[in-house]
Amino acid sequence: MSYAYLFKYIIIGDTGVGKSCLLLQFTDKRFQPVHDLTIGVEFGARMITIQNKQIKLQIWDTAGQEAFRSITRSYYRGAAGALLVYDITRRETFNHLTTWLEDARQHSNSSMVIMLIGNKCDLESRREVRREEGEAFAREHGLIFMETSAKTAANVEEAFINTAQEIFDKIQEGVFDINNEANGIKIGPQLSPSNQKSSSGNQALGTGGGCC
Amino acid sequence: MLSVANSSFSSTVAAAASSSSSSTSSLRRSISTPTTLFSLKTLTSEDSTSGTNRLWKHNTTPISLYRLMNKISPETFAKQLTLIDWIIFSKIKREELKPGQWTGSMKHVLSPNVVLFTRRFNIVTYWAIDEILCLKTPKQRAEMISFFIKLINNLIEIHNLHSSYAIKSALNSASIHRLEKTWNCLSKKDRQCFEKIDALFSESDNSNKLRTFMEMAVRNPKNSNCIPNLATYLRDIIHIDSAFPQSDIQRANLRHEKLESIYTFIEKCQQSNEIEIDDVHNYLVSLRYIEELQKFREDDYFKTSLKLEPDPNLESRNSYQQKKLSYSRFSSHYDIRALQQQNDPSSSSSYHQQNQSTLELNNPDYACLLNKSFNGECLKHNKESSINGDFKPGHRKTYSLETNLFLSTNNNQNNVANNNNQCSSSSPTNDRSSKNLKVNLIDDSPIINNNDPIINTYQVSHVYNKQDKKPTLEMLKRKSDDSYLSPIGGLTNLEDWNTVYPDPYERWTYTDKDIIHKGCVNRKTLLKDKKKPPLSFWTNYHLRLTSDSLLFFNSKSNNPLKETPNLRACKKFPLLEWTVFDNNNQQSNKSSNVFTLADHSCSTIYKIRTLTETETKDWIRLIKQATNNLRQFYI
Repeated sequence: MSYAYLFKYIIIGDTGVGKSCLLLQFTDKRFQPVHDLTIGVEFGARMITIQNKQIKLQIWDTAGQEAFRSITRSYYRGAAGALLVYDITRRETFNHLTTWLEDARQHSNSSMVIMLIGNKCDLESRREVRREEGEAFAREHGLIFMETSAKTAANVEEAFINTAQEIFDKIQEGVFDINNEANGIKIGPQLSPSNQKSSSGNQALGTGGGCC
Repeated sequence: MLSVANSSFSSTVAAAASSSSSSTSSLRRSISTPTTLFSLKTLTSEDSTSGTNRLWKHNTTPISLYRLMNKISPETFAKQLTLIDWIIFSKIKREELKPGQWTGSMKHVLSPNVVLFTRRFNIVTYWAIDEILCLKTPKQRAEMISFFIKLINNLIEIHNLHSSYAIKSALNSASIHRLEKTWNCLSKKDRQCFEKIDALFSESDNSNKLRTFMEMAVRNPKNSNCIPNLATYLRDIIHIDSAFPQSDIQRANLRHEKLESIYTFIEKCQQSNEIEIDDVHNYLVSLRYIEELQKFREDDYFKTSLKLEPDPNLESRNSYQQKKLSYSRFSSHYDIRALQQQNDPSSSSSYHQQNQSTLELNNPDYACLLNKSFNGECLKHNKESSINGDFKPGHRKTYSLETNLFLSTNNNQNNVANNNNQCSSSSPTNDRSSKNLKVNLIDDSPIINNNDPIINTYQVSHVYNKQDKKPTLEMLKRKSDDSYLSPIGGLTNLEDWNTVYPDPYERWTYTDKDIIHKGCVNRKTLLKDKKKPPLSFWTNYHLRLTSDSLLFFNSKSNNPLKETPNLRACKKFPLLEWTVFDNNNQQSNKSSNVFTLADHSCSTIYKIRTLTETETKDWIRLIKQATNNLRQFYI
């Protein structure tokens, strides 16, 4: 399937906050048992539509690899968006946000959009971090904020889509240099600059074929 | 089967080590490879071991790979790196790979080899970054990168996807990747080569290329050794666990099947590999890294990188950054170091040669400043950045960092005050600081110090040697026996580890080998929390000095022979927070068997009395030594 843009995301946060559950929930249709989970599946990718434009989201999950410092860090580069996840039932995961944020800011490109996600909001009875605290933190650091539940799927779609919307807006505003792949954005075949003008972006577009 | 001839490496290394490196680079390297903490340098530097072994010791001048790389082939390095990886990889059991086990708080107990293997990955990454950033000119750095690209290729050739990925990640790290001038100096061939490497490790199509490569490597009967890129499989395991949770009984088969296929693959990889060791091995094994200092190192790298090739786009923001940076924790970290240099010439490596016990913290201003820098400054700064929450985009640091290493180790005293406030606080605070343990911020696992045997690859090699009786590792054992093993980190196998630290949070149960010095003392309180106690007695304690703290155990008897320390009743004094003062100095000629122990703000002061003057002197000397080792490591 062709797409207008491809956005690369990264999901970060402490272990056990539900990063991969969020991803699975969002890309669920690709994870029916018939698929072989480990080999040859375009992993963590899904199409969404923003302003009538098909956008492919490709999401790098860092689950299980948190301790491999440089792997996680090399994902940052080349990501247009980051989902920074904490667990509302475990305060320490909220307390570590600044560390994650610093990592993300240092290793990513400057215009990366960061969405703060308080996950597991279905577990209201065990809540340790108030919603307002998350909001305050997001406001303070200029992030978008949402509480989600990977289990009930509440707000999961929105989290990914709102991030994409923000990136899309930034493209429209000209904040992102879309010809630089390091920014985590690829132009899809249908908007190929080769139709408009010859550009260095050509090489990148060769591999951008649809997968889904 | 791989075998490596013993090269004339020793002489090469000797030449490299004897030529002095520039002061800045050696300073930087001494920070980024903080290996001195538990090595008890004094004990080893005075012994008479000579020859090559000596060169590998932590306290020798770090050897620049740049000096070695023309003399030793990347192939040799590749094989030796593979050997080290193999020693750990081959020990990974399938039980260690249960979903998520390697990241939780019990990871050192449940998945010790996975943790070691991960650690190995990070060591190699940091090593590569170190070796590139220590070079002054873009051309030199490009040569180094070129060497690493060759090394990656050699590693891939012998199917070591673990270390090859580690070095590849190093070259892709922000600090190296941004060095445009350096990359421009690289030959076209090298660049193309790196693109190919990048493509092999590409995440696209769920790392299909890499997976196929590894599968092929294992299937090939002629050359079946393969050290897979474990990170890929670890994520797979987590994904399987998320997609087919254990609670989902209906799909339990699928879960089992999928996990099984990964375990089987890894076991297949473990089936063969024999590599003979070479002297390069010792060099590679001597690379150290402290988990706790990851952030410092990365920050250091990025700063160095910016210094080497300033970012033109950032110029406009420079003034802002500089201003901010001067408040940052990291700069205070540097300031302290500079200060330490000024105030305390003995903190250099010549300290031990002089064999003199100069007290570093005897300058109260310095002590006060140190204290302030570690705590007050950081807190103040945290506050500031919370107020100024405006993030300026770009490669930069945030300033509200709360993972303060020093806070997390130093806050013994503030325990009570800090506890219980966590739920009501409205912004993230360092609640770790209120706990008297060092934990990994990502997964709450306890941070293991360098002297802990489980983390010391060398000792693991030693374990391997002992248990599996691989003749090729005899050499390793010999070497470790005469110079490497730190005298205090002497546990020899993982079982010991489990028994010594059954609960990762309960790490006060030091073994005898952790103890540098012990004995019976009397303690009297002169000042406690700035107040003079109304009544003060000499109380008997059994005192133990470990590499990082003083432990006071309640003791019933003052007679060392009848000593019965109550191991449960113990008070811990982290060495970084306490300073020992020699009372003899103050009273000039009059010697005494009493010394003083004060915290940095001098709000609590104890007098310690021992049985004899010599014993007092021993205590003072050893405590100062341990503190000095510790401080060299932290600062």
